[in-house]
Amino acid sequence: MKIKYFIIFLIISINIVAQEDNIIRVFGDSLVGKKINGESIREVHGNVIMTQGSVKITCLKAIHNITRNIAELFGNVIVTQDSITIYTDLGFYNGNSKIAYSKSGVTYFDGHIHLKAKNSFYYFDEKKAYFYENVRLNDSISVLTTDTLTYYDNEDKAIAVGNVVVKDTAAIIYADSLIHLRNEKITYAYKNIKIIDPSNNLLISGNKLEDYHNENYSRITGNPLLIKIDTTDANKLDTLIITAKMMEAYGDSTKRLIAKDSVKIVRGEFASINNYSIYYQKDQLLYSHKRDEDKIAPVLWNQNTQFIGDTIYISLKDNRIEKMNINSNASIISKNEKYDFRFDQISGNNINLIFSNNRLKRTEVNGNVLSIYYLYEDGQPNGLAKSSAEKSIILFDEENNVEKVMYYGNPNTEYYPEKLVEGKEKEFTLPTFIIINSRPQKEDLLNGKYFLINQLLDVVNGK
Amino acid sequence: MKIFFYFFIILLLVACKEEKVKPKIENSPVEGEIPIHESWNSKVIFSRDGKLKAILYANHLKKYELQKVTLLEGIKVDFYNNNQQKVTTLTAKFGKVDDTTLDMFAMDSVVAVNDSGTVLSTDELMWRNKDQKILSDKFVSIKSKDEIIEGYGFESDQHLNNYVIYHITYSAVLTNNRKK
Repeated sequence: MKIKYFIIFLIISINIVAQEDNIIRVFGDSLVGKKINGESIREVHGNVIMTQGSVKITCLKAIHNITRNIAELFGNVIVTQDSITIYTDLGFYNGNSKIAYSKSGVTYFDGHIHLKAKNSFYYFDEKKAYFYENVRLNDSISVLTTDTLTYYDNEDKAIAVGNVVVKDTAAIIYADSLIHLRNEKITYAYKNIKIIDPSNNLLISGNKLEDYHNENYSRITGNPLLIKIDTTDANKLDTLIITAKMMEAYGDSTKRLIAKDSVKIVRGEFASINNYSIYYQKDQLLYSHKRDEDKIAPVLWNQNTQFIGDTIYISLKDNRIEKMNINSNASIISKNEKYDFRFDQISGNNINLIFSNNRLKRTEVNGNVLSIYYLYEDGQPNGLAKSSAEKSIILFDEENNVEKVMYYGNPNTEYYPEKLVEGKEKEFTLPTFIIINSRPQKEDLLNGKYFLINQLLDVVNGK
Repeated sequence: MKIFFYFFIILLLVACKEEKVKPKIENSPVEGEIPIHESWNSKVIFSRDGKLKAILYANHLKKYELQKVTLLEGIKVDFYNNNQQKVTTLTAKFGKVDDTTLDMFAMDSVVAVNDSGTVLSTDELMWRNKDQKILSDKFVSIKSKDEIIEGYGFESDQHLNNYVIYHITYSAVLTNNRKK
């Protein structure tokens, strides 16, 4: 019986609270009451304060249509609800739906973010704001501009759609749309994504971006493309281009960028295909390796030379190749462009290459060394040498030609004169010999997106 | 004569007793003048251009010629629109009519109700004949099914449809069956 009375009391209390929530109270210097087309109109002038539940509106003048419960607000309009404050010069408030809107320029502040837009709708019951046209969101670290933005205050979630640009101290992000979860510090961006890092002359494009700020991790998928522009000593532009199915970036102490699946890299005379590459920004180290599920090992090309190995390390200095280390099933094949199918070949357990000014100076092959080298005299072909050893060192001249070959540990060399070689070149191949014809080209990777290079240059040059 | 004397004493005592409970509103600017006309349960018709504007009912009416003023007690005024339909009814404990301007003043427990059910309450009100406007500089409360309006100072047409309230405190109570 007591419970019954308690429930009745509770229902009455809830009703009273609900009714209180629906009362609009208006204070002002004066009120003009009139009827227009049968509708009751109240004009409140001077120091207007309107309240409805937790919603408070102040302005210079308010015209309240009692019949439709719609108020037009004029002059220095400030709408507040809890920590949310909205400023505008001309606004409207619907007391039934508890929606405020303005098309006269709006500023929104919730204690954390500043939002500005030409037009805005605010849904007080849902604590949801919708902004469109010239939308600009400022938080402590970044500025976001977009065509439209929906902000959910309770969730601290922003959804931006149309020409989204996010700028912070480190990078600029362009996208068609973006979702940002402020509390979790997670960002998702979609379609036509471009991330420009001016300090590193870097641009990454793709169709989906996921950024997990707290984990210092971001991932870009949907045909990701990386472009990095560097200037050579000769003051020429040197462009690094990478494509893959997925690119990941870790902003922790390792500062590494990972490219996964169908990775293609082009930089001047250098190119690579593989399925897994890591670039350590801090150490300037590029690492590619063959995963268990991969059918082919990473392949690299430098000028007319092809390198294959299960793992490949490339050490860079001032954005130039300094050292290369190929481990496990390593092989190098160099083509003499003047002759058909004359490939210098060498294979071993691991190969170390030393570069100077982007030119190969020295190659060191260790373990189960096998090699085939074509010989020339006064520029004319002069047979080949087929060798095996435990270790080999090859030195190159300025023209990138083999200057000297040394073999260590049970060296064995067979010489084949030219008459036995000419026309039978295909018979002289190592067991590991394979020519990979899918050397990526810059044009293929850019796929008509040259404008991205120009856009990156504009940002780098501060345009 | 004795009966009249006792009756006068009783009246005086009653009047004194009333003054202790509530101060009497001074509604008689006329001193030293005897009313030229005095009537009970009176009816005064206000018209313009042959059209009925208002009908005033008074329990007690005293007309003073020199001061050109009529004092009223227990008043009710019905205001009419151009179609001769009653649109507003005003009641008050006391009233005063300026016989020159035909402006009317209502005092003490003034209540005006229009045909839509809007109720105006105040302590003092003036109905200005020349423009048929209702005015007050006192605290005013207007109540309807939708809203309560309170303020100090008031100006309105006699239908209570178009008005201005100054220094307002106003609430519109929403019903749940409104269209969104």
